Amino acid sequence: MNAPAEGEAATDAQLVSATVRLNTWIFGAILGLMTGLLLCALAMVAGLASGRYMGLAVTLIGVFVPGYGPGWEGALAGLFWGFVGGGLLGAGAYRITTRRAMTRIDELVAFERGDGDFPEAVLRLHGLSLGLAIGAMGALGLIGTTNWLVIRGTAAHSVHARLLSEILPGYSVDLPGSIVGAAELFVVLYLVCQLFAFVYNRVAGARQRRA
Amino acid sequence: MNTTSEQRRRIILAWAFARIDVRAFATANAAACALMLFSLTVAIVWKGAPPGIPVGPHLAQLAAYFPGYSVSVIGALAGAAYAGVVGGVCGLVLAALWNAAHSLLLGVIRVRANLSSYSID
Repeated sequence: MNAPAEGEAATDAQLVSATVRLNTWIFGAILGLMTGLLLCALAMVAGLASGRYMGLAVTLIGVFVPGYGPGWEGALAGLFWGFVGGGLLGAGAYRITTRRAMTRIDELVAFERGDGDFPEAVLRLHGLSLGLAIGAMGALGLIGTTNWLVIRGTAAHSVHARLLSEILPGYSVDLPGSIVGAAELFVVLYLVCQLFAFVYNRVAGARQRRA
Repeated sequence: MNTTSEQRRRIILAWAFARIDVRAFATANAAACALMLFSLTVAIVWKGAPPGIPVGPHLAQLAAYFPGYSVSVIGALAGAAYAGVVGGVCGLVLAALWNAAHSLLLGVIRVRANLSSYSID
């Protein structure tokens, strides 16, 4: 490759890198906000409703989210930790999804008709990258939360965590069990993401053709 | 800069500010959420429980949030409908926020570019 071409490739790589950084912040902020508001709403509903089941779900989440529980104070803690946790999750997932964006950038956009000064396009999803990203985040999350229970010393009493073995055969509340469960969860999330990307790309493509 | 690299840069810029198709995103999220809750419920129903013991008592607690939901095939359909609605709304909100953030950013860039093109001399 000659020097000008190398320079252009480096500029393109910088542009992609800047785009990924910007969108990582945006996606992290959006997912953080949505997770925080969801946890907040659940805690508020659990605080208002008298049924013990709603309180149970919120209390179980509270094992992993400091200060979280039914009522106003727990809702505020959920808003904060949900924003932090959801933000990190979203940022991580976006980063993994766009790891090799440079090599397949043509597949990730579909241009729209328009005579504006700026190229308008619709985002297309890459099912494999999305599946790897969400699958990896889910699997790491399961290993992290399970082993948090082990470190806390409450693994033996975690009847609700043990229920996961009903849907993830081989899962148990210990390190080997969490790795088996994580592998299974990865496969499930990978398949769901493939379906998600397939449906999104199909519907978006059909709508664009109609427009 | 030759045409090919110009086109490539145009693609990168388009990707940077590409909008999400809100309706497609909501549909895909609704389908994924509905399928997950449906599969989960049917798997628990299919696995069953010993006589005298309720099937999936913990999953059945979702009825507190989704009235009419139960751990049965009919309940799985009701749950899929609820999960589809919740997933669709979440997808819609996420996609709308993404598009709004990018529109805002692009607007700021345009305004700054316009301001910098004016000379005060």
